[in-house]
Amino acid sequence: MNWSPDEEQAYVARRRKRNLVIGLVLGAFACLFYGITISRMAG
Amino acid sequence: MASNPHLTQPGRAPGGALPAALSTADWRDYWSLLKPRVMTLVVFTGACGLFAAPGHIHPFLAFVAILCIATGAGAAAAFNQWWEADIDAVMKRTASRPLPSGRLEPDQALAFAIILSVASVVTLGFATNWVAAAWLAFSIFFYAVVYTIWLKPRTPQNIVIGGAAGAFPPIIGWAAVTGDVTALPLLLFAIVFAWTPPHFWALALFVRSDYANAGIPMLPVTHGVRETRRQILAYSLVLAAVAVAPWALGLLGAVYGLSATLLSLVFVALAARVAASTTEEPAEMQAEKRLFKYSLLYLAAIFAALVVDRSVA
Repeated sequence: MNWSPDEEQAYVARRRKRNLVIGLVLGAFACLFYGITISRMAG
Repeated sequence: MASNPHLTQPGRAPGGALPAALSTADWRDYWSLLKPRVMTLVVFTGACGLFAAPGHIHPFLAFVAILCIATGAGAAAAFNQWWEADIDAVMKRTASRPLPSGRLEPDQALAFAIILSVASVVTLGFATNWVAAAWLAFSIFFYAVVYTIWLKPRTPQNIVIGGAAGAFPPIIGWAAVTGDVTALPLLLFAIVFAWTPPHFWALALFVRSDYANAGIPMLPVTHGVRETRRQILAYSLVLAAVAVAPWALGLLGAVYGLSATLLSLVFVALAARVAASTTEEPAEMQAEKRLFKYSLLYLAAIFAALVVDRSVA
């Protein structure tokens, strides 16, 4: 690959942000199922 | 091609897909795949179906149900954009979407759509019941396959079928509470179904050159402006009849009945003005633009009236 340092930096920043969002979504998904379980037990 | 920086970046094989690990997409591209503006309508009608249903649902499960309906609709929209990337590329309105602009690879969009579809259906099933989950699965299949892949490119009545695809959320919301589907949610389905053609054809009249350029057989392109106006009025009359039916059949009360009657009268009046219009110039189509804007208000008001009526009953 022949990326310039600027392109490389922009790519890494985008990837980091994307990974962060994926992590947050997976965390939210786990919380969602926890909430579903508790709500169903309560209901 | 040279004008698109995403297609000329290092690491992309000429004419080939960029490896997913090197994707230039960020989370906003994935978000826009979900068509968030369309999602608001789906969330609203789904929530109204849920609130109007008899019975009780835990507030958190109600929230999850609405979230799943929205996610399922987003997944269907992602399927739609994955399939129509080449068409989107030649339409002004859609050329900047993530796939035609090259920010996102088709495989990424397809994987995203599949993951969201499965996650939304399974989560809804666990959170509420499998009847609602089955309706959600069917609605995604209907929009992605029956509408987008099969009928949209083949028939000028594509919007009528698309209307069915977008009309499922009230049924899903209702089923999430009750576990079954009765006459009222089916009538709510019918309202969105009958509302869609006049709503979209009003828009299609003043952007018809876009559809013509993309080769999509929209009614104004295949049958002309005059026939489209005639059908807008015909569907508006059907919509008015369907909209007052829940009250006429005794399923809803006077609050809804009065609201639906007044709102529908205005809708039909605006549609009649469209039918009487003779202009062929999109810039001069004021009656069509007015009907399009009013149709958005109409659907929101009809469903709001439904919830208010059920609340006071």
